[in-house]
Amino acid sequence: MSGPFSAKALRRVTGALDRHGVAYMVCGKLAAILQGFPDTTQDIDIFPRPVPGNAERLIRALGELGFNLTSQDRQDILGGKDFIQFPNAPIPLDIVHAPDGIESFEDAWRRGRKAGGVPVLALEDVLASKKAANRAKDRVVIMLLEPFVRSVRSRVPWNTDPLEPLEPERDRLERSIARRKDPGTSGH
Amino acid sequence: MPVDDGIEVTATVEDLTLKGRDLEEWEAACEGVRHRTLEQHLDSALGYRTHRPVYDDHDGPGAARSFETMAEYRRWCAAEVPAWLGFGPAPEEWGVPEEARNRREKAERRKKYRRGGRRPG
Repeated sequence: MSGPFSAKALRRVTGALDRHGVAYMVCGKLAAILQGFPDTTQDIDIFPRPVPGNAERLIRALGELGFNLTSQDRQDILGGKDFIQFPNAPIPLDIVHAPDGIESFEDAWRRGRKAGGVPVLALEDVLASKKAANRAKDRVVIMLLEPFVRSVRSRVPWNTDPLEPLEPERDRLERSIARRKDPGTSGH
Repeated sequence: MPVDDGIEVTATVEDLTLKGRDLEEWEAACEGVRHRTLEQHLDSALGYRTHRPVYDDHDGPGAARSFETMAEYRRWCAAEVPAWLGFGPAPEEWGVPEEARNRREKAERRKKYRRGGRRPG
């Protein structure tokens, strides 16, 4: 089990992701917490953008954070498995390539926010994701998050900003590279 | 309603909506965030840690426990993780919001389509 966690540890994670140029959003309850939701969480859920090169950058960032990845672990990340968790890692990080209820990274990014310098899912998407997952624990979060989204979000004391648009030209180039590697590649 | 672990869930779907005084108290708690810095808020949100049996335990060969699909992850949670942790599906009596069902199905279709073309990083 990972050790205690703090704002400082979260900054270590986001700092490493940024230094290695990982395109990602924080999803799950932490995305809401970063937007002022007063609840607790034990995990950092990272939603990486599924584009060429990003998985390699993520692996390098995890290396910097002290994750002792096996070749199988690296393959799982490179292969984009939907959900990867690291129970024995120094930091309680989950990689979620396909968050419940989220259609695509690009859609989520368009609606997303930058909260405390961290790209996060929009509150409405966190809520939708919890509804789609529909675990017993999600229903409790929904009970608390719905009134928060309805009435409190605008009064959060720190700024949250819209995310800058993803670079369309880079998107186009990345899709083009992916298509060259594999003619069957359609979108991401 | 009995679930595994012999735990009986007594909450009804009506209990899952904040009303009256409960809602007022919750909104007051949300207001309390205004008096904290982001770092203070994060420290209280992240500083709590408890061991979750099975979920936090891992003896596999690698650092990671991975699931090809979210459906596979959900099945594992339902079968292996103690029910009292809440990682299993919500009781049927609580229902599934129509909006949620549609959104999950739509996302699954989109992911299936994407997976057809997705290749390693």
